[in-house]
Amino acid sequence: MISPEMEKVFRYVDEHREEYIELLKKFASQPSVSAQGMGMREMANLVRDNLRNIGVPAELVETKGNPIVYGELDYGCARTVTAYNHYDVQPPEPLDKWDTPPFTPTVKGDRIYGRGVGDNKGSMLSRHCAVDAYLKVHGRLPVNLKFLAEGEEEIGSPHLADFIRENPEKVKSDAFMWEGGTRSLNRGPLHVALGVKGVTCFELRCHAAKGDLHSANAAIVPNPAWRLIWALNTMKNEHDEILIDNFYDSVKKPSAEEIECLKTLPFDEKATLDSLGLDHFINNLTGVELQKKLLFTPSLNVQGFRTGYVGEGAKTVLPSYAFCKLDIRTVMGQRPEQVMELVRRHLDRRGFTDIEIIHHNSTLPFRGDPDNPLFKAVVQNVESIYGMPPAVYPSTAGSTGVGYMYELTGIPAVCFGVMNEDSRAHAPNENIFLDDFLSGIKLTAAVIHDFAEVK
Amino acid sequence: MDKPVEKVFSYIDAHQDEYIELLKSFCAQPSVSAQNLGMKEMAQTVQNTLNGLGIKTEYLPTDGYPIIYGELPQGRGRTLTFYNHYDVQPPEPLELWESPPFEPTIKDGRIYARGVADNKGSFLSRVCAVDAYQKVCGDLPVNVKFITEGEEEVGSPHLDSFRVNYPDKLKTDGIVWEGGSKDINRGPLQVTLGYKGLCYLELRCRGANTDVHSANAAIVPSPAWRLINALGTMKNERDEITVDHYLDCLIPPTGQDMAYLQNLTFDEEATKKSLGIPAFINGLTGIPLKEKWLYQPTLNIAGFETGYTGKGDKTVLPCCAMCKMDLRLVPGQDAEQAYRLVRAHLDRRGYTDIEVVKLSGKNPFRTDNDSRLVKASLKNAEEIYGMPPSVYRSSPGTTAMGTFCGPTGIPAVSFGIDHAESNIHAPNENIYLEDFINGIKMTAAVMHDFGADD
Repeated sequence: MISPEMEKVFRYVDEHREEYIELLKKFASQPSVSAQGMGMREMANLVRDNLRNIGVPAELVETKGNPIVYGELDYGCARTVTAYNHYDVQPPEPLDKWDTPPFTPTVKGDRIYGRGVGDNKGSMLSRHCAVDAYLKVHGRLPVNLKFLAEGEEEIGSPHLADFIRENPEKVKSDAFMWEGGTRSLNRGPLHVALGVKGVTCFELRCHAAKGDLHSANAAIVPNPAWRLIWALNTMKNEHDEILIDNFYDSVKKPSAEEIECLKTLPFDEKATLDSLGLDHFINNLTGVELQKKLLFTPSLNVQGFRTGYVGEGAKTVLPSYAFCKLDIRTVMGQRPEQVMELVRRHLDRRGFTDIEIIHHNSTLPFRGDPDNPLFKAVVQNVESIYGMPPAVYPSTAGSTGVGYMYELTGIPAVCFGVMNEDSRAHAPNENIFLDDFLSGIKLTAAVIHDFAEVK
Repeated sequence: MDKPVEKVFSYIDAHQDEYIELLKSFCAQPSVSAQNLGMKEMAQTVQNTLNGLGIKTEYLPTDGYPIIYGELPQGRGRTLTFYNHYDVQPPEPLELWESPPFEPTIKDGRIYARGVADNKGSFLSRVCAVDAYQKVCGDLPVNVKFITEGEEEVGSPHLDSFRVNYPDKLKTDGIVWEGGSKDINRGPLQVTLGYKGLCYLELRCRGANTDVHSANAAIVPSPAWRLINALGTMKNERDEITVDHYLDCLIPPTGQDMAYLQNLTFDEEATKKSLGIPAFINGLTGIPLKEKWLYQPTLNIAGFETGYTGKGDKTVLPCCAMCKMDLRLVPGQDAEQAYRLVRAHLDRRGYTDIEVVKLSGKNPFRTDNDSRLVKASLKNAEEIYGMPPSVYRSSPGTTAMGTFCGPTGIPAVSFGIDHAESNIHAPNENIYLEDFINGIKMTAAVMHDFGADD
């Protein structure tokens, strides 16, 4: 049931659709690639200025990396909710795979394409625009609201923990609307997530001779690429089983309720395979087993691998250096330092002491409580806006900084947003449906409205 | 030593300056095949020089640069062919040259210029040997052919069509191949009797139709892992090639082949130090090291690329992965068969989706140890250079020798005028003038013995 107060807000959102889409285009036109240090300051300013424009006092809080944009509307209400988002995006490469330029947001049919429109500028603006519409219609919010947007999520949130420690008053809140979220293919149900996997990113490096050599020497001079290939083969087999010694020992098994929950999740396997151009998932998994693997099982992914000559044609070279970038998606029971220690011990035990491990960034896995009021406020509004009940995920397959936030503050969080399963986050042709952007604004507004009251 | 050869040697000594001037004029003409620089002019110079010896030459166009072919029939029982190339490597990086690459410069007994070693010096050692022999004896002791190509430095892409199109021109009793070097510290002349072959492959694996967020890594197949797992089945950590049946057909080295290794100098400590490695593969040393180096096949990863390899992290599951491999081949193997074995090995393990593209192939070749050309070369190397030669039964590298000699069985031997610090393919390429003159004598003596009555 939509209350009359919310109907007014929703009507306002519909009437200002074009204005909000223009704002999304403006945000997506500004590159903000944290991994490459591109456009970060400009983007932070843009976020701060937009908060000010809608009437939220906002500032940049400097960190050792990119600044955090902080804004606050304090009405002295009993409850405070915080919108956590990030204004950085993934690198746009490979550029030749984009149908339209990544930083020239382009509407085609009912979708908008551009790097960051899904992850995370669309969701961030759904919070901004919700507040804008609510304030325009009602003059004030029924809760205190904080905005916290960081610029380093895509590189593992290396300075978020410092910010949390140094700014307890800014962080203090009753709940987080965390980052964003997705919905099923073909305008299926909205996903509301109570938890995430963690991620631990690292690099393996192997050096051999001082410089690249003529490959006539390959019979007697060690090849670092082969060493890395052999080492990787001891870490995962063809059945996708992670072979790192003791890797699964500490993994906390999902509860019976959580497994039960998987059965209710919509996942159109065929449509997903079709959209990816695949004919099977790993190990031909399907049904609950597929969901279990996706949501509750750790993964070991190769992000990138590079050695020697990779240009056109044949160059007979024996490379002197090889490196591989990997990420491990961790589940409850695993911690980044522990996982890195297991990798080191595993390699050492097999004689790969010469392979260097560079631990990049990590986030923690997190599992929230379905009893928290924010979760209820989200769930009770989904059906009236999306026309169908939400799909509740005990954990998503992805990772965010929410685990560190919870570990440091104990504040619960719920994730929902404007993407869909074909949004191609982190990949070429990232996109969202314009309607989902508008629905995300409405849902956020309704959540703000209900969070004040819900038990 | 036979009298006529002694006279030829005296003639060569007396005309050193003239021959060195000829070398300088050749090196002053750039001929960079990779950059199409001066190729036409150089081909013309080669043709004119051979014509000047009374050789009947032909300019044979190819789809790339021409081959200059020449023959000088002498009514002799045997024919000896000189294979060389007139193209050179690019001179870059120019700033590392102490004298301009195409201004040949003599300093402390050496001459510096791009191509002076690879291969203009060796080519002219053949030309000057013919000249000196003719001047002293009138006729040559053998019929002579010259095959001089302009694309060696770009992989000799048209040499095989020459073999196919001109079987009569290739017909010969032996080939003196390209050139060669000496051991370090002015050591013995290296005489090379064969080369490994080469099969260059590119392996490609594809997954989804786009890169996806690595959150999907638990359920979406990764072509990078697939290629890594597939490669893991092809060679183990002891550097043993585990491609099915790959080693079945190798022809093991003979007792004579192994004996050659005994006399081969290889300064292991100096080599490890210069490469910055603590040990050779498997900690090998001595004869087993040399055996692996010269007589065993390799399966080398020349390049591998997948996904994001820039700064920082990108949590992406890449949709394609690519690996370049070069496989050095030894007798018993050939490039096409090596490709097929890799293909069958992958198919048998279910990796039918991994595409294997053969980018180039050259077959291995070893000359018959007992051939007349081998004997003539080894005997004269010792006499002229004052110490027994270093005999490489097989080079660890690859040339087109197998292209000509594999299908025909023609004996071929490589020797030339380089030394261990000739800097071929690098800045400050150089040779010793003394080695150039000795190379002329060596070629003349080999011609003489090759043609002599038994």
